[in-house]
Amino acid sequence: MSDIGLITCDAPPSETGHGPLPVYIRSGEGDVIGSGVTGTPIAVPPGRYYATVLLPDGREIGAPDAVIVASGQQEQCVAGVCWIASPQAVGVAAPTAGAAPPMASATAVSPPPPDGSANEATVTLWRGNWLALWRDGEMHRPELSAPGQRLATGSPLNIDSVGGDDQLLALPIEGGASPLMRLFIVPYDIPAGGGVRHISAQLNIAGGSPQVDFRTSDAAVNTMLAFVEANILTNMMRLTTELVKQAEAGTNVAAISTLGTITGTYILLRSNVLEGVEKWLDQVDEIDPGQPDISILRVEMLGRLGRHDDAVEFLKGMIGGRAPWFRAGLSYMLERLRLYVDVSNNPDAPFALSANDMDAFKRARNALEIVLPMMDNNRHMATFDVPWDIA
Amino acid sequence: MAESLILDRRDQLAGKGAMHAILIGVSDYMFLPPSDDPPGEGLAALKKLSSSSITVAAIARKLQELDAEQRLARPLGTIRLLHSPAPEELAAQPDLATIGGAPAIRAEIATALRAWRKDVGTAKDTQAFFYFCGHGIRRTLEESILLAADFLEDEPKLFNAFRLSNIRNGMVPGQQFPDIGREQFYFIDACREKPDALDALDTTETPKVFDAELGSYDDRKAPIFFATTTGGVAAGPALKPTYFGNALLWAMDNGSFDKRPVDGIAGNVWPMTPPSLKVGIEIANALFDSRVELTGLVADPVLCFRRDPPRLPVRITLSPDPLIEPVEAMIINELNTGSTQQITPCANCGPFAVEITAGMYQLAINPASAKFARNRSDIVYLSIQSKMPWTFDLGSVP
Repeated sequence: MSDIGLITCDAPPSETGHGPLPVYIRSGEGDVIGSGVTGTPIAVPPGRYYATVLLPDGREIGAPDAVIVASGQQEQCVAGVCWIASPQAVGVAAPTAGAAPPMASATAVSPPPPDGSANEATVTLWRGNWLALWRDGEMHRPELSAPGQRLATGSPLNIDSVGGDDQLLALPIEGGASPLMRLFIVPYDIPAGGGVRHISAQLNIAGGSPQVDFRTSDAAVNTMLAFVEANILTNMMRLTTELVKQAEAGTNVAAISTLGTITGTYILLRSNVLEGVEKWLDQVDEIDPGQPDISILRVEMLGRLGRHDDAVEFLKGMIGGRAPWFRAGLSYMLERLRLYVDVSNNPDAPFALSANDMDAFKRARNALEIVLPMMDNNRHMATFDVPWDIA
Repeated sequence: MAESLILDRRDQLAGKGAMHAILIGVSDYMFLPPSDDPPGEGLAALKKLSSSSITVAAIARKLQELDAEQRLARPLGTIRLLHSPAPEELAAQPDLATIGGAPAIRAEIATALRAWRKDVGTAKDTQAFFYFCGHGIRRTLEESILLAADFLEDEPKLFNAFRLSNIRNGMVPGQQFPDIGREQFYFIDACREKPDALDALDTTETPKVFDAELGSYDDRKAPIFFATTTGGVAAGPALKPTYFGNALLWAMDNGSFDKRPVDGIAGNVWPMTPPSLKVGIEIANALFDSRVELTGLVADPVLCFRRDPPRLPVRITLSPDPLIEPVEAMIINELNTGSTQQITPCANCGPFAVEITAGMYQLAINPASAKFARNRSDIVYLSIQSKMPWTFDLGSVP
């Protein structure tokens, strides 16, 4: 007779479009007894528990009643939303003075409800090495072919990637103090079993100012991306832990999805979990050699492991080539360039930079120092706001 | 040199992992104009501040309070305070003159940082706490130039300043400090704008506090909290803690997601970790919605904790309005203790704000007429990461 029972929890019926979602099993006193993801049994001691499913928007929905599990038994529960609707995106009043937080006088800044005209935008796709647009201390405006393509909310634009070029999606932003072009770095995914490098671009106006979210054909990857966008590392790690389990069980994680694996690796590095990362990177590299985030993730991992000479060699290989898609990757690249330029004259530096290398490192560093301040820090995929009157 | 240490329990805690805090608050910038003067030229467009010293003093008190309640993940070993209060801060809070510490000029800051690193470097299980409140200048994403009280005393212009990355890189496990504490919290309560005058300087380098050293295996958990995103402005009301500081004080009490076991702490507790502190700060002040930037080696180190559930504000909306009138009462039922709160809704007067503690909840709707039956919601877990307002669609009630 086992001294544990199993609880498997499924997502609310209205939320089945997601991949695996985090599940928490709590005691009546609120202690977290177990955690896992939807559809996967979670072992707990016999008892009476509340099971909840965490949605990407932060709602944590439980089953209508507590779950009682006996030793050796398996219980199934389905979280349901019944008549509770999603949080509203429209303007709401700030908490009253009686509410807990100290800054009751602060006003909630809620975006105005998007009007009909904002439900679509014209975007233009540009192919090439986008980082090379920033050179000689300034940005050289890319030539955008007219006319652009229409992108409407609820009507995604499918983008294929061909050849080794990276892509930008340019979306004009008007109505502010000065006209801007919002440039989105376009990723792609190679799904399970290989196939076309593909991504879907979706217009997102929930925050007021238009953004483009990227989604793949894989629900699990999209769920991970949604949690990354929600930007709570604890929840991202809960999902990534499942990927770690699959890797430990011998699964080639990159074969599940390259973008999912790259995203998961960024989450691991953000948590400074380095174990197993090299193997993941090798697996993605085999499926998509030359993918730029793999290179910078490897540089960062090697640097953190103290293997600076190897990190420097990989960094040399990146300069002048394709640039990472992820904001964090660009930031890692800049910080590594800075550090290695800084310490290269130390007598005990474990690497040597030739004059040419040093020059290349400094040029790359200087270019990134111009690029990065233009980046939107609320977006995980690199997004830039560029004044559009730049010559 | 003045003594920056205002609390020193190193002898008592010898051999135990302790927290070592360094708090730098600069209001009285000696070479910047007062806040009500016209702005100066170039970098002198920056002005004196009036809440930095009050903020770091409040953080120092909070750390001591949490330590006294045994709610810090590590006992408090040292506090180094470097502050330059504005005269009006001293008038408003006279204890700032007696709290101790050293003036926040560059030389004192550098000396204190080196001593702080030495303390953190004594054992891997020590914890570092760094808080800077004052003027900052954006350099790039994870980098800020932090300005000391004697900024602009002389040339080069950025001499009396220091780089955040130099501090962080100096705290890496390496040859000099192989056993440096692996959990390091950095809080930057400063603007991250880039003044145009910075472009006119031939270099934006600042003198180093620590020599650059390449780390060995960097297994730190070292989150950085920026009070604002790149290009943004950190602010505060005069003579009160800054918005960020005040929100952090609230989050150190209430910024926890759930109750769970934590290594080294007996029993299950509600821990405050970098991700939960970030959400706590954003909940505490609506100004911070999506503005606090959490970066660095974030991971999940526990700064502090509480044993009872934290408080959180909840806002509830009923819709559509025409169906609200038949609702007599909305009852919020906390399932652990069975405690309830009752709200009488009215049309066009929501959302309804209540304060609760985190936990499992169920809501019941009592009808005032036969328009619909009494009903209850699913069980939900409410914590600081629950998005508000919580909206109930009365139209779908059977």
